[in-house]
Amino acid sequence: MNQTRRRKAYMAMAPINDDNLPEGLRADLHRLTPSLPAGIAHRERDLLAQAHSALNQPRGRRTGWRWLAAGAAVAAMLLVAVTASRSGGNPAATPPAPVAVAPKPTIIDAMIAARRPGVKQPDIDQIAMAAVSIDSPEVH
Amino acid sequence: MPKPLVYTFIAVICILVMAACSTTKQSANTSAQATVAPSAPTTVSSSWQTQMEAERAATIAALIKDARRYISQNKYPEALATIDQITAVDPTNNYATGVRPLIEERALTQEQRVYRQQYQRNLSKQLNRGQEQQIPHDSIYRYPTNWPAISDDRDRLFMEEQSVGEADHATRIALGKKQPLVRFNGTALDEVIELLRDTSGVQIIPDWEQIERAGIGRKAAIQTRLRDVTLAGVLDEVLRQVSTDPKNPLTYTVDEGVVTITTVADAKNTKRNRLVTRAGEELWIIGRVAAGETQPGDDSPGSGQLAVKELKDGKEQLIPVPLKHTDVKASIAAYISSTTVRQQFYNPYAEKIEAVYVFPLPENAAINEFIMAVGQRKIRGIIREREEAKQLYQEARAQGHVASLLTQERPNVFTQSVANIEPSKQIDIEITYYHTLAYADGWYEWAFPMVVGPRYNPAGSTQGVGAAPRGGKPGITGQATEVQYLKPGERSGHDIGLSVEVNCPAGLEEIRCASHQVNIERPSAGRAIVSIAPSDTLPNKDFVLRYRVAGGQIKSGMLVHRDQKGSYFNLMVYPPMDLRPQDRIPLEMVFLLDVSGSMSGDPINQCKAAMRCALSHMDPHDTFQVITFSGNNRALFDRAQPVTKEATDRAMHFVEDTNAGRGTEMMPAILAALTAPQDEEHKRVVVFLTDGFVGNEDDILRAVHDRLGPARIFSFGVGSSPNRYLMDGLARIGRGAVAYLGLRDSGEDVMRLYFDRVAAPAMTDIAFDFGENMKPSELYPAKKSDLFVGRPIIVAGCFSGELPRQVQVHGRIGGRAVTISVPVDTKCTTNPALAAIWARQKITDLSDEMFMTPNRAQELVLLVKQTALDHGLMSQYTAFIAVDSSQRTVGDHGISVAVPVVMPEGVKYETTVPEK
Amino acid sequence: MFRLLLACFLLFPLWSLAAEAPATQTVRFETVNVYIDSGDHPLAAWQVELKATQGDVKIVGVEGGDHRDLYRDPPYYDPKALTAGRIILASYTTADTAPKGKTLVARVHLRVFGDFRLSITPMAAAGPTGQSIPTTASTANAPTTSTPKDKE
Repeated sequence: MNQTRRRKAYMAMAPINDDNLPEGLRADLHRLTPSLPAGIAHRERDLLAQAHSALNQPRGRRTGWRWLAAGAAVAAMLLVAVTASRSGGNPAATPPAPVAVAPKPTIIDAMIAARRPGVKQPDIDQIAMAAVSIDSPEVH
Repeated sequence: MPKPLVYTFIAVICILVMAACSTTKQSANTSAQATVAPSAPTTVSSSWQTQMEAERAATIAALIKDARRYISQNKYPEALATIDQITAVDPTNNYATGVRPLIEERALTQEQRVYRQQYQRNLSKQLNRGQEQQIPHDSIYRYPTNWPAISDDRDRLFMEEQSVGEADHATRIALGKKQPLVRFNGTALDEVIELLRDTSGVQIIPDWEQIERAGIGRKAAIQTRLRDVTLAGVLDEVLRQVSTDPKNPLTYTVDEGVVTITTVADAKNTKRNRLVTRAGEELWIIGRVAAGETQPGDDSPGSGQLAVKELKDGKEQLIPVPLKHTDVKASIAAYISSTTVRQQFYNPYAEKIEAVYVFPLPENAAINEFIMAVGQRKIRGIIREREEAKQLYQEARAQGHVASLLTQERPNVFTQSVANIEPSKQIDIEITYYHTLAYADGWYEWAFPMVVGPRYNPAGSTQGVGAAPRGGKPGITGQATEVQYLKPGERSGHDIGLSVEVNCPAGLEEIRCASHQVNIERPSAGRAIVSIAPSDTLPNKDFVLRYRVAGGQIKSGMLVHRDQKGSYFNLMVYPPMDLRPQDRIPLEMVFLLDVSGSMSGDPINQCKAAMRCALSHMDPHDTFQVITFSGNNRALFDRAQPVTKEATDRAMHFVEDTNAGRGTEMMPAILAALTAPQDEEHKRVVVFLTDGFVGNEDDILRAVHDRLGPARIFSFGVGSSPNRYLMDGLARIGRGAVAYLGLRDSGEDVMRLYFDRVAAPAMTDIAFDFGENMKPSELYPAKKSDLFVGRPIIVAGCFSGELPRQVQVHGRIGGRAVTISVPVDTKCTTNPALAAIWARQKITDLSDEMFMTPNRAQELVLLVKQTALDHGLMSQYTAFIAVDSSQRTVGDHGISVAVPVVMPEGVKYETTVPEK
Repeated sequence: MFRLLLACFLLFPLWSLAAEAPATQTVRFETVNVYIDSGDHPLAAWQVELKATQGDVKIVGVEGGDHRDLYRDPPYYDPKALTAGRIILASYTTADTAPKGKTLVARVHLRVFGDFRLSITPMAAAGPTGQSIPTTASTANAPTTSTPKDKE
């Protein structure tokens, strides 16, 4: 299948009007997509859809209404959830008890441990590494 | 709107734009120095912000242009790197967001294609080679297809070298023609010669002067009847009849197409035969060496008298190298060791240099710390993706900064590069790693390799480890990694200091080191400090320390570590003493014996001793085969033979008569051992004795995985510095076990213990039960191996939930189900090394899985990379980089100096390092 | 003629934009000093967060500070943080005579491309007895010297 027919086939597959795409991106999309292996045609469709959705994010005044609608939906859901919980609508949906999370240490904890007699260096290092970890949550 | 007004409006816009551009240009020139924001947020003016925005937009536009150019050139990795830069400058950039997924997809497809092609190419090459090598003496029977043309050329060349012209050639052809019937009944010699001349057309000229001087007359009678004899034969018969002096008979010569009949003495005087060889041909001179000239026990090819290079005063030649000293400090607790290796690089030259040092570490080492010390300052290195780290290193090197880079070539081979070491300056590198100790038959073993042995790389390979002579041109071996070796008689001055502290609360019963002379201090019953003696600091052999725990028997147990990042455990299961091997089934023992050049000398003698023991310990119901391999492989039998006295005697002679030499073509031998037709009544066990000095370990491990089937591989690492990555890998993938046979170990003892314990597994079908509350995940090794008597299995994993008091290990012994209870130490949950050890085990498992599922290679590479980066570990795809940005050395980056190393003890330089 | 002049006016800004190659668009290595000012309080433990808010910045080394032997060793950091453009550095000393005032506690070695900006936020600081102390953190670009100098 030559490039032109392939391109038309992709355009037929993807419900995207690529005239709205920036010139540079459109040119690169067409250059990249035609020669991708046929076996991932469905993947291409997804990628084009992703690119399209990324480019057509709501901007300013044109797409602000979408955010407003989403916010309203979330608020409505919260309202329903709170109302249902207050009225005891579903005894089975009891919120779980909060799990105690150990507070994240700081380097001060490591220093205090280092000054305590009998504390081994690996333990001190462990506290210090936890203090500088970017993964462990902060609990205040 | 009127046209002049439009044009005026456009002109005003352009002027404003020009003014904005010139302002931006001025601000760029003044802001060359990097600025760093203070701790409190600062306010900036709007004009400055506009300038910054414009500059940012220009940067983004330039980067987009570069990205599009790379895309058009199909350079997807470069395009992705440019997209990363765009994202760094502007995370919400639409172009970068939109095009990134497509470029990643293309890059992935491209990389997969290249990888698949390379894999197919290498596999085909290896398979073809394997098939070829299975043909015995194939080199003799392998004729080229254009052999007639080669024969003609050879004849022509031979004649040219022998000064044989076309005339001579035609004469010789005529002399070779058969005569149908020749009958002389008393005919005179001169008439006979005339008749032969006339009938054959060959110019036959008798030298009557010489003939008559020999007492032979012209009329000497010839009486003969010959049929279907060549003309040359007829002449020979005629001349034989008339010759009177046996010491000086008549003969003939061919010169310029003329056959001259004369005496032998006259023929020698006129023309002498000479021995000519052409370029590319071999000349075999077989002679007997006079007694006393050979070194006893030296059976390397070409030996007879080794020439040792020495200086005039007879002292060893000291070679200055950029590596002054290596210091190793280790601490062992339970079965986990933490080791710090400090390498002192020193520039003894008058110019700035880059030092490159290829060295080994334990193949299961989890390297997680890297510090570069410049004078008194210590700079901690950063773990990054390998290619990124290399690029950073090159950039720092080019700009004159002191920089160091640590990369992994194999799990047990690493390259340390230190750039811009100024004359007489020292740069120290500290590497810290964790690893678990091996345990077998009552002994813990802590091993530290000191030198990479010279590897053999199959023809056509470029990703191996090359062995080069000292001072050789970089890249001379054609391999990606190169190690330079000092010649015999050369010494570098690089020495090693080593100290190991063993902590064992249960008490140390015995501690010994067979490889080195050591000093042992015993501050308490459960503590020992072992250090290398000053007289044995040459780094040319593995340091192997073994110790036994008091009580004679270690117990199974589980270590645990919990912190904010996660929870890890390390479970060691040791079979109890009352477990005995299940009934031994008949085995087909295939002995694979490495007889390559690196094995010559002490290593091959060790192997022979081990083989003698093995051949005398087989069960009468077993069958066996012996295959030796070097440049090609030789099988003792066509197929495995029953264990009879005759067969074992023959095998003994076969082994004893074997000499080591030539290359190490291990792949054909492996294929021969695993693909031979298998007897259904015998279980195949491959016993592999080798030093493992090959550069294509991954290909071999892949081949083992693909062809193992129900067989098992038991590997013996022989020598002072065996390739432990290959040995352990063969045992792991071959679902067997590994043992090491050092030069000072007893081959018979090691083999006897091996046979007694591992000939049959004690426990199979192993499964773990961690209880209801503990939720384990990501257990490695993922595939559970069998439990052999005397050897534990170690499993690392993550978990969540509560710890049980015991873990149940279920399995089968013979036909019955058994359970072993393993206690869990719930009090001590701080073992930070476990996280690194688990991550290292995961990397090993993922790397093994690449052999099993090559189509998932890309995904597995990403997993390995991510695991290594998350835990800050070295791997094949990550590297440590440290740069001193605060100083820049003067001049260019200087020359690159490879640190030469000594040959491993017992390995011969002459048979392993090609001289070019 | 007017159209020709107009074309020149139109093209000139584009040309000047293209001709501008900012002097900072090169790969280079910089060192950033990290200071903690604890005022009159002795500084026995410190923890800061460093973020790259602008530019292409890669960390290629982390070094200790400059105050005798107290903060000479490289500080703790999370290796996983390096790829996220954010790093937390921390260190402590068990000496009783901790430094006061503005202390150079760490050096971060960077490879940068173009202009870059870092922000620093103090997270924790304490005296020898473990009591929290107020501090301010700052960074400064350290000059790159061309002659080797040995640290005292």
